[in-house]
Amino acid sequence: MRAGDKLVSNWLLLLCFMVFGIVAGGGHARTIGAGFILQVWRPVTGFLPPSGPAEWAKLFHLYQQTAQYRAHAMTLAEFKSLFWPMFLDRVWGRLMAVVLLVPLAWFWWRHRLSNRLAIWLLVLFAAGGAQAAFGWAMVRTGMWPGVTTPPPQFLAPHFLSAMLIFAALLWTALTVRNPQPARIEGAAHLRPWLNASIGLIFLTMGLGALVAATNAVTVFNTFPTMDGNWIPPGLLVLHPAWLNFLANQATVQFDHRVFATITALTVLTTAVLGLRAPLPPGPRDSFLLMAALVALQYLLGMLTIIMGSANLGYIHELNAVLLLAAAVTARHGLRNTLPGAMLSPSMAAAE
Amino acid sequence: MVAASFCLAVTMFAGTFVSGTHAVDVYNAATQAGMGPPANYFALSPWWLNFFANKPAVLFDHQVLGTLTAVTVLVTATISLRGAFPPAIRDPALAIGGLVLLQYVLGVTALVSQLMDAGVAHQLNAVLLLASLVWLLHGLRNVAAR
Repeated sequence: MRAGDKLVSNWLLLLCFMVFGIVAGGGHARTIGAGFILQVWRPVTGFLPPSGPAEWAKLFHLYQQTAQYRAHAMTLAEFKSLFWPMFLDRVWGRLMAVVLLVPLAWFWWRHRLSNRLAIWLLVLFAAGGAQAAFGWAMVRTGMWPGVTTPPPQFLAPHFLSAMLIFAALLWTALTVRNPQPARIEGAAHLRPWLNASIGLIFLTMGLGALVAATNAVTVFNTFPTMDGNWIPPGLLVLHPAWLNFLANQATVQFDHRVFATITALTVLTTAVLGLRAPLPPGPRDSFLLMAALVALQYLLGMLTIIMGSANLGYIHELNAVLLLAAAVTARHGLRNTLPGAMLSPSMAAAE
Repeated sequence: MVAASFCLAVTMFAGTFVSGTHAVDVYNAATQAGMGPPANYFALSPWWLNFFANKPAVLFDHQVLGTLTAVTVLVTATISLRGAFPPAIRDPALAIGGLVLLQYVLGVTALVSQLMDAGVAHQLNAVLLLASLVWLLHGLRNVAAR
């Protein structure tokens, strides 16, 4: 691999952008309630739209077997209006596979990728395939009796695994761009703070997916308390107790609020420490961006809950992806840091 | 920097009318009253009385000015933090950035919760933000253009 291959890096960044796009498409499909609409999966030929009335009738008939349809019937026209966003999200996934595999084959053949990097990218491709298969398993839960929306134990892992792939792709793209990082002295203490921030962002995003999956945005539309309680009643009404952490609206919203606050404080502390450290402009700007995005994220979360708006929650979800990207970029910029001298140069001279 | 200080002073002044008229009372989550421009801004006569005594108008003024101030202060903080200045400027720049974010969150909280305590915290934090702006201005009193 050549040092700092910009073209390869841009290609991988394009794939990161496409992951953001599929989160936007999937989140939109979820927000409008289209998750169960397309009850077939043809991994390769699925990019072809329905060819005629007969095929539409077949697809509609399949959807009519779901508990969601039985709870809330719809016309063929309504079915079609929900079908297209879901269909496009899946076509976008296939397009991502093409955008990954075709340049990969070309660059590898031209020896522009090391074998190690090419195999790593194939691993990420396999992860994307597994992500698609898991998404299909989630769609199939529509055939389970009584399941009218994608269950939390499917939705949250589906979202978090997409975020893991996103973070891995972004890290790889940045490493290809800047293979030999400049040494930064006096910034090693920031790395555990950033690791903690990234871990907490992941955790809070998973909890946010549970809020979306249980439609918990519709309850406790007050801030900072939950209808007057700092800790809402009925956190453990479901049996067994662990089920509350997946399916109880009060519990999942409370968890998301508590961890969002812990995460915001941790990220802001990290940003202050980073902005006070002697960092070069690149990493410094990623700390600034991270601070701005986490503040916006908290504000969006507050507004989402007081307005009880699933649409605003969708914007809140997309901003979370940007926040994760900023934190990963900041961490990447610090991968070759050293601890600072015990004394500043002026102090050492005085000694 | 001077613009940010001016914005803050005007917003704090507008905030005193919110407090004086108990304008947070008009907020209603169900009807979205208190969010967005009021339907009848000039309900009172003479017209200038609306700026001081018409609760929805007073609240709206403070929200608009608060948002403008927050954006101005954040831009000031960002410019100051990206300028590779010495710690005497960097640290007050961090303080104004952090405090203005806290101030905005406290403002939204005071409105939607209608908790008097949140309003008091919002007022006290405004003083801290003003102090930080003075601190930053003081650090910049001998700067030259590049």
